[in-house]
Amino acid sequence: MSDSVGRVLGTEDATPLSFWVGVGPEAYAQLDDVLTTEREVPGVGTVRISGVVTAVRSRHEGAQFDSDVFDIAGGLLPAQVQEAAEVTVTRVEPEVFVPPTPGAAVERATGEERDRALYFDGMERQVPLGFSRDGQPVFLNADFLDGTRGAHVSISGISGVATKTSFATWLLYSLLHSGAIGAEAANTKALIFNVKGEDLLLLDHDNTRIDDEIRETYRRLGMAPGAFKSVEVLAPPREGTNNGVPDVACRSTGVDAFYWTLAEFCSGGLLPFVFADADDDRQQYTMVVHQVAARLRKEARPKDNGSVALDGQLLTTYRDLVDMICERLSDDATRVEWAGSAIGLGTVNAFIRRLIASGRDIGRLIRGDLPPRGGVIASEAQVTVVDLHNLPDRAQRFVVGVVLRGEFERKEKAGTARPLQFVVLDELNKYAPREGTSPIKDILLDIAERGRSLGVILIGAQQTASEVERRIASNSAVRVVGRLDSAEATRPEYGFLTQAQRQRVLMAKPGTMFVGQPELPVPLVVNFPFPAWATRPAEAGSAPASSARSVTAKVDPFDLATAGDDDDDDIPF
Amino acid sequence: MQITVDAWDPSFADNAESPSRSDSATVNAEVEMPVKGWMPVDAPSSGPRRLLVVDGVRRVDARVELSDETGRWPGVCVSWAAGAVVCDLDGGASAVIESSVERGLFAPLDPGTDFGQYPYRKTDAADSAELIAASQVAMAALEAKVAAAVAADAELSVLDGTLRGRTRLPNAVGYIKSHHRSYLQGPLNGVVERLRPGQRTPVFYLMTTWPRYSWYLRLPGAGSRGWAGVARIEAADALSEEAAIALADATAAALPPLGSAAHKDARAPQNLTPIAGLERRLKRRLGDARLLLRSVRASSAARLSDAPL
Repeated sequence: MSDSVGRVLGTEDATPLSFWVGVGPEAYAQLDDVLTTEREVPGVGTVRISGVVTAVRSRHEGAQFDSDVFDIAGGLLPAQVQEAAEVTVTRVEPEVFVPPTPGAAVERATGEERDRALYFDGMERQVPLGFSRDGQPVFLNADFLDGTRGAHVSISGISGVATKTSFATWLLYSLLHSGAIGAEAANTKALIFNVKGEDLLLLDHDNTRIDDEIRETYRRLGMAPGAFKSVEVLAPPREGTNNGVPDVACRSTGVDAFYWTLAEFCSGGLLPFVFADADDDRQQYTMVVHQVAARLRKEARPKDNGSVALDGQLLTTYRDLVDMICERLSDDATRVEWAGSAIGLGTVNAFIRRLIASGRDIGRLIRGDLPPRGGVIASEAQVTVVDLHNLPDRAQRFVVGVVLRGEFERKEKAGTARPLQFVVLDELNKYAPREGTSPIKDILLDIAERGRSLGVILIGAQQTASEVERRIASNSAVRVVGRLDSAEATRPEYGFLTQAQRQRVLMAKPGTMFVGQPELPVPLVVNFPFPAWATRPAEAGSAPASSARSVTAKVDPFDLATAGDDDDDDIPF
Repeated sequence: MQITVDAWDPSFADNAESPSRSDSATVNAEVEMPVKGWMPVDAPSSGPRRLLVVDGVRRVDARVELSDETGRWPGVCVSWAAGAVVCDLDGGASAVIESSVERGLFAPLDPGTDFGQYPYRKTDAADSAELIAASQVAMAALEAKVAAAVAADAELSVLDGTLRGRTRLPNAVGYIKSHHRSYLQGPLNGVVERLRPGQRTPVFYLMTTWPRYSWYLRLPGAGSRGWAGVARIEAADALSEEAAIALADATAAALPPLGSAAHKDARAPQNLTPIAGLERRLKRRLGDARLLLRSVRASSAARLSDAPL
C-alpha cells in the first residue's frame, strides 16, 4: 500500500527527530504528507520511523551562481533539479531512537501505516477533525476532549479569516455526531456565547449553500451532514419593552429572552459581575461592591414578578435599585452601614459613578417586572446559544460571568462529570486577560483547572493567545491555530508549531487549522468541511419544526385536536 | 613486494602539461579561399539547435611507490570520467545523457593483488609524468567511447580537446581552448587578430602528426584584440572540403552563445558553459578525493599487515 518517495539524505543530518528526504525523479512530497522509513538495529530488529513533511525545497544542482538559472533554462548548462523534504518524526516503533540511515528508501505511508504514524491506531474514540492536504481524514483523540486524559481547547487566529467560531462549532458537531463518545452524545450539553453578529443563532437551520460534494465529505468522516438538532437561542430582552421580547433580528422562532430578576440579583450576589472589568478590580471601590452586595443579599425581600422590597420600598427596575443604593450611600446616616467603615468619600463616589453608568448597560437584563426564569439555561436543548452581540461591553461581561458561574456551580453540586458541559467562548483575551484579575477570570481559571474533573470543558477562542491568562492556555490539551498575523506568530505561546508552520499560519486560508494534540509531537494541518448549518440568514434553510413550535406552544395544537376526537367530554358544539 | 603511499597531496603530481613535442606543421590555407583574399568570415544567421558536448575529467588520487627486491617504481592511482551533454536550444533543456567513471593504478610493476578500487594498468614508464600521460590516454579512450555511444543523433558534436583518434564520429569537431603554438604564417595570423566576436577564419588544412581541417573562432566576452577569446576547432580530414566548411559555419553560429562569462569561469570565454557544467558534474562523480586516498592507504596498510615478517 506504500509508494516510494525517495531516500534519506546524507548531506543533511538525519536525527531521530527529523531528517531530510531526497525526492526521487518520478515522485513528489508535499507539506503534511506522512512518510515512513525503516532501518535495522542490531539486537532490536526493524525500527520503523515515520513522520510528517514539514518543509519541502527544490534546487538546481550544478548551478553556482544565481544567473546560472538562465543558462540552465536556456538549455546551455546541464543541471539537475533536486527536491528534498524535511520530515519531522512523529513515531518511532519500537521506541529505539536511532536516526534513519542515509540512503534508506522512504515511502509514503498509507492506510494502517499512516494511522500508526499519526497515532490514530491508538485512539479508541476518534473525533474527525477534517482532512489533511493529501485528502486523508485526520482525527482527534476524544480522550483529550472529554476530560478522560485532558480537556479544553484553545483556538487562536485573527478575526475574519481564521474561522475560529466555525471550527469550534464544527468540533462540537463532530463530537456529537460522529459517534466518538457513543451514547453519551445524547446527554452532552453545549453552551455557546455568540459575541459577533448573528452568526451562531442559526445552528439548527440547514445550510442551503452546501452541495453534494460537501455532503460527501461529511459522510467520508462518518457523520450525516445537517444542522444541530436541538438548539435553544437565548437573547437579551429588547430595549424599552416591558414584556421581555428577545432582541434578535434573524429569527423569530426558537428564541427565548434571558434576564435575571431583581430578587435573583440580590440573593445571588450578582453585583460584583457588574464590575467585572479587570480595570475595576484595581480600584478601591471593590470593597464597596462586596459590601453593598452583602447588604442586598441580607436586606432584600422578594416580591411578585421578581421585584424586591428593600427597607420597606418596592423596587421593580434595576434603576430603582441603583437609585436606592446611591441614596443610601450618599446619606451620612446610612453610608457606614452600606459601604462599610473607613471608606473614603471619594471611593464611594467612584462606586456611585460607575453604578449609575451601569444602569444604561445592564438595566434591561435585571428585571422586576417579569416572572423568574428559574435559571438561565432552563430548557433541555442540547445546544444553548447565548446571544451577546448587541449588548454593550459591561453587559457582556455580566452575562458571561453570571452564566458561567451558574453552570459551574450546577456542575459542582451535581458532583459527577457526566453528562459533559461544553462552553464555547470567543474573545477569551477579554474575559481572561493575562494582566489583572476579575470575577470572570477567576471562574474561567476554575474551569480551566478543575473543569476537567467536573465535566465542564472550555472551548476558548481568541485572536491572540499571548494576551490570554497563561494558566488557561497551558491547561488546554488541544491547541488550534488558524491564520495569525506575523508578530503574533513569533510569540512563545505558539512554540508547539514547527518553524515552517509558523510561516504557514501567516497565509492559512479560511477553513485551514493547525491542530496540536498531546499525543502527536507535530501539529496536524486540517481542512475542516464547510458548515452544514447556516452561519448567516442568507444561507438559512427552513427552520426545524421543534423551534417553530416553541414560539406559540410547547404542544402542537393539531395534536390536541386529533387527540380529542373520541373524547366524550368534548365541548358540545 | 611493498607499496607505500606518498604522504603528499596527490595533486602535486598532477602536472597537466604533458611532454611537448616539437612537431613540424604543414598548413594548406587555400581550402576555403585563396590566401591573398583571407579575411574574417561572418557566422550564418542560423545554426544547429541540438548540440552534443563531450568532455572528460581526470584526477590523480594517490601517488604510490612499489618496491621489491629488484628496485623501486613509481605508480599513480588515477580516477577519470567522461560524459556527454545534449543541449536542446529550442526545448530549453540540457541534460547529461551519458557518463562513466573509471579508475586505475598506472605502474610498471603489477602489485599482484587487488588494490582498492584501482585495477592495475600496466604502463612501461619510470617517470610519473609519463604515467599521468598514460592516464590521459585512458581518459581520451573513455571520452571516445562515450561520444561514440551518443553522437549519432546530434546536429553538431563538440568534443573537448583535439579530435585525434575520434575522427569517425559524424558532425564532430574538436574544440581546443588554448594555443601552445601558432600554426598559421605571419599575415594569416593577422586575420585571427582581426576577428570580431562571432567571426571565424577561413578553414585551413593542417598536417602535423595527423591530418585534419581547422579554423579559429573568436567567442564574445573577452574583447576583440589579439588572441583573447579565440578557440581553435578541428574537423576530420575524411570530410569533403564543402562539408568541413559547412561544419565551420555551424560552429560559428552555435558556439558563441555558449561562451562562458568571465566572473563565473576562470577560463572564460573559451570554456563553454555546458562543458563547465559537465566538468563540475563529472568531478563530483569522481568521488571524494580524501575518501579515496584513505581507501588507498587502507589497502596498502592491509597488505603490510598481511605480509610475512
